[in-house]
Amino acid sequence: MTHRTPPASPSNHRPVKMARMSDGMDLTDATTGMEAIPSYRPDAKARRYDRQLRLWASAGQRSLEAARVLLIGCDATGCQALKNLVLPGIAHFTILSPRSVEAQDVATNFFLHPDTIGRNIAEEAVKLLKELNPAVEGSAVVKDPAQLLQSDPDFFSAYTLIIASNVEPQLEMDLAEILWKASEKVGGPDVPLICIRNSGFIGRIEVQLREHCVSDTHPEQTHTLRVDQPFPELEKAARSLDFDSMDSMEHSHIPWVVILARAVSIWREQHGGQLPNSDDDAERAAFKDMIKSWRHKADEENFDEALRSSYQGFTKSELFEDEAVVTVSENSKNLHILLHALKQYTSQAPHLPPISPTLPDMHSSTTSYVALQNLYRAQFNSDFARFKQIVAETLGRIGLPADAIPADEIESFARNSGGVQVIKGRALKESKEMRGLVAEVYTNVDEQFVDEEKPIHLGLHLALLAAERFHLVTGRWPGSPEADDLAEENRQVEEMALSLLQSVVPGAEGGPETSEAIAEVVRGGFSTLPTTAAFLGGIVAQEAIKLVTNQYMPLDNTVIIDLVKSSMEKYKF
Amino acid sequence: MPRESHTQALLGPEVFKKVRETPILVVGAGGIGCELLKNLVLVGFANIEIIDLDTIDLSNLNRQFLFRKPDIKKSKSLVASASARHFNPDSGIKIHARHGNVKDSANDVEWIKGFGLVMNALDNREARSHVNRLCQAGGVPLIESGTAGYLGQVTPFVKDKTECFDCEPKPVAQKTYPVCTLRATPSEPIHCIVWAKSYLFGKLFGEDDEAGDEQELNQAKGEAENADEIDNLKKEAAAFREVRANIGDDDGPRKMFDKVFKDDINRLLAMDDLWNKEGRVKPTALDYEGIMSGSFPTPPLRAAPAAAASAPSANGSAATEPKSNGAAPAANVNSAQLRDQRELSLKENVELLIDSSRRLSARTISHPDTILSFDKDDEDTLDFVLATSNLRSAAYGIPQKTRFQVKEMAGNIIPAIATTNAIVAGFIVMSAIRLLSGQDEGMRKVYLKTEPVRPIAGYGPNTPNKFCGVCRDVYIPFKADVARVTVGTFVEDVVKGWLEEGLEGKGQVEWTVNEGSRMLADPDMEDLYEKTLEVMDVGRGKMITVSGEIKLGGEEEYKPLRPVHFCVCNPSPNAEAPYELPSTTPSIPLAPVKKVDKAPKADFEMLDNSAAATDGGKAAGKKRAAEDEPEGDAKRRKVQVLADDDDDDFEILDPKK
Repeated sequence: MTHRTPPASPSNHRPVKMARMSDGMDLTDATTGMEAIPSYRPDAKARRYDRQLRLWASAGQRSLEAARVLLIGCDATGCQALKNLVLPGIAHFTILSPRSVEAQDVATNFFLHPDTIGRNIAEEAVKLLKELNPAVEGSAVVKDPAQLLQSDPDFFSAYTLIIASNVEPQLEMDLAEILWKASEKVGGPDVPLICIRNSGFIGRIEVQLREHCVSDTHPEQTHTLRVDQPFPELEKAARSLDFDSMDSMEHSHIPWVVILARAVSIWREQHGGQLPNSDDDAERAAFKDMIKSWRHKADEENFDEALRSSYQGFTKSELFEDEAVVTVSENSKNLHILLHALKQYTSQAPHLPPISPTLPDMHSSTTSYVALQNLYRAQFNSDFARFKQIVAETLGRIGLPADAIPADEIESFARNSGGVQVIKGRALKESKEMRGLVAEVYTNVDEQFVDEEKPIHLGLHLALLAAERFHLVTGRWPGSPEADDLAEENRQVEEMALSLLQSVVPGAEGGPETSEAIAEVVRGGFSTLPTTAAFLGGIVAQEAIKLVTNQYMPLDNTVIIDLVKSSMEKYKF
Repeated sequence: MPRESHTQALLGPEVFKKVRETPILVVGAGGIGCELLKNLVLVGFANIEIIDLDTIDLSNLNRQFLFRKPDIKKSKSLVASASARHFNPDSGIKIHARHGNVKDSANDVEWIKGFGLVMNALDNREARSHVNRLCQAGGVPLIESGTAGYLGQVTPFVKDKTECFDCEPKPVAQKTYPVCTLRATPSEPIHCIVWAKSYLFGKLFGEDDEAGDEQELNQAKGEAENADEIDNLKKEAAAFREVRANIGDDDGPRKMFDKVFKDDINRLLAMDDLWNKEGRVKPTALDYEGIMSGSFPTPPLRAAPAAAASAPSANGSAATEPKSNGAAPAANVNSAQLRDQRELSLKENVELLIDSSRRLSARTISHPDTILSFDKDDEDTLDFVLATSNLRSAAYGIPQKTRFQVKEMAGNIIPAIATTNAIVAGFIVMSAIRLLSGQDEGMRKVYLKTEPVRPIAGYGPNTPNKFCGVCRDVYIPFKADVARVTVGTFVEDVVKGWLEEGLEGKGQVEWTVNEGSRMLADPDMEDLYEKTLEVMDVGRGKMITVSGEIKLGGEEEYKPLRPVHFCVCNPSPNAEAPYELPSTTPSIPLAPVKKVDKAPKADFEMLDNSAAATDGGKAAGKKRAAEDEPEGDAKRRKVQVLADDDDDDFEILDPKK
């Protein structure tokens, strides 16, 4: 055991640790090299990742460590995004670019050394990005993406996720289309594509994916309590309460879940098995009145909580329906197999996913809380046993070993099964055509724009789309250094924006917000400000992590960011 | 090729000039600090000072991207600035890196006034408040920031234009537990962890605070906790001294085990009164030989009701199945699982206790003058807390926690990731640019949230709170040769002769002079008049607070004035007079009258990390904690659990819905 310097005296509140600039000994190697790490201690990897493991757990980390990410468009924003993925430990990244480092790149990209001008940009950036985490593999592919798309489209589908940072609009569309087509086939690769576009203080992120399953949405309501359909033991416990014999202490500490389950049970009995109709004000009030009538005193917090949550009594627990996961094979992702098993599970009564094994905090006594917790835990255990059985059968049927899916992954899926979500995405081409939301908003422009912030973001979207059109026509960005008449370019982009808008809403006008947005976008000249790059790089990596780990609801499908006003809005275009 | 050309064009020459020339202070070179330094350098800020007292740890490397593995144990600020400089060697950018504490006396008001803008990238409230006060005293704008997991925020504080960091009273980030719950009747894993970390560890290896302990128990007794229970705890404390003295012996750790997990528990068991209450579960004394030989049955978990017992046993739930000891619990072993997320068996815990005690006692023997304290990154101390908290849990029928969980609960770990820091640091620099260009947008505070609909929200700025005891007070730089200024000179010449002269309304004034909580003088106390400020240890970096009460002509009562803080600084070079004052006296307004003392907001659960375990630990949340001991009152003596995460992670200051 190596001796560490003992911590300094506690009287010095935050002791200054001794800095040893000259001593480069790696403590980890020094301690782990000589003797095996005791089995209960985390290895160096777990210690490096400790602070993030507490956020996405080992299942999330496993997914991350299997992810292969491709970056096209080796600019400051793209490299910042990669930095944020290399640090937490993806398996591999590739940067695809044939071009050389220019002075402008060095000016904005932290991951290019100033003396690399003239060398291949992908190779140089990979070199510095790899230094961030020795566990991550990085490689540069010095090829033209557009040509590669023609000659070897399979190259792209070998990645878990692709980031296209400020690539030419034509390439972006072609890439999106090839990926979208590839995902059409059942079982075909469905590689999410994240597209970045930024100009000065303005940024936009678009995500294309056909289908994405979130196994853990981390919703506000983290607990599937299923109060609307109390399981038998819960119902029994709730009905057996004798309010009148309780003392005030006991009565004011009945957990609200029990109160609500009792109300639901009695209501159903009196109403032919039906829940209160959530659209009927009178029924909702009557349901609440029943709960209120059980109060002994007006200030009982547990009853306040029950009333606050009373909507859970008239909101029917529902299960998602999804056709895509009906068939599974030995090549299916774990998550798909689990979804398949869940579907089978819910085909049997009570047609609901396993219940939550834990409870939220609530006003109650320790004893009654623990008793309720045990009811839920026992129910979960029984639900989970049935679910595990179905998973095992499924694995057997498709010819996979019983331990093909780690036990803790099955358990965490079952624990969160109430929060499983399947997202159906849209093709990038389709969302850029603005037929849906944009058309709708601009058709009823006067009614929609109550909130003052919205028009500017939609205007920015329109401005960026028009600028992309400009690029398709002229081969360069409006407002770029080659531009000699900024006002004229501004006017051209405005014209394009108007024609784009009128192609979906005849006779529509952009309005002053759009002009303002176009001016800001053109002023930016599609150059990258380091702070914008840092910010967008953070958001993009965050979305990538959501997609890779199947945790949290990912962006679907566009976010527009205005760093002048520190605001952002999400849209599904 | 200068790196900043693009930015220059976008910002315009005027703002860019400010960016190049404004001296910037960055406090903290951790998660946000690294990102911030990179952004500042890229944007073209050319005059940066960065200060941090911390050194680099392996667990920093998942996000603090200016550090590499060979940098571990080196100074954060020095390595960060070296990395940033290496990236851009000949750009004319100056980074002055300092390894030290921002609270050092050299970092006084004169020092802070040398900056045009200060950016906090800190991890604790104390230092945040300190920098805030300095910035208010010096009139320097401050951009405050913080992240916790996916959440983050950036708040600019500009003197007299916005609120300051302390305008909104901050809720106490410490969770407290009743003494008796911790020492005699734990019912949750966190009770056992706090006991192991804050009590047992200190008793055996830490500062042996006999008097403090006695006082705490007496106070608890005075506040109507069970008197017998308290007397019993006193006996227990006395017995510790013997165990502590012999812990280095071969059989020392074994004797400690017997005392703590057998004798003490048996003594508690003998007190019938203690166990006659609802919800109380009697512990089981642990038997060393039995555990080691495998014959000791693990005590059953508490409150295992009929429903749980009838649950299918095939489910492998560790929570409902009593385990045979000796072997590792089979249900929790999984090849894919991380090793520190495995539950230890009773026997493994005992072995770990013995082993970690030996390691710790070896350290106290080789460094007798160094008092050990719990540190989540110190493996020996974490091992000890892991083993002892789990053994105590076992004795009380409380579920076990893994090393991963104990580390989080005992260490108040706040999760931290690269992405949030990147986003927040991007915002800070945007905010800085706007402040420098004089835009009001620069004063908005921005929150980063996990809400899918609106992940970023801007507010404000809020106006100063007129009751704020930091930003509404008056600050005066006091350049003084403290060896030549006595308390009497200060009171008579500076306060009465100069400050009082500047008062607008004439009337009778009475002054009280303090340094921190120490009184130096008041109308009835002139004992210290002969002492110099130096003798009174009122040197550079300290503040002398002068509080006045005034009775205006025609009025009956004295009314309080806003306090005036004299910030002691070094005298000007070649100064002849013992002290120097500003040319004009400040106007001192009356302090506003506060009607009702508003308690800090209670809807604040973010910082309650000690209760936020990865799983059911949340069930031990604060609402029920009060009910754990229904007979108790709020008056009961509580044991404080310090929020002592010393990483680069951050607290969220005010997570608005």
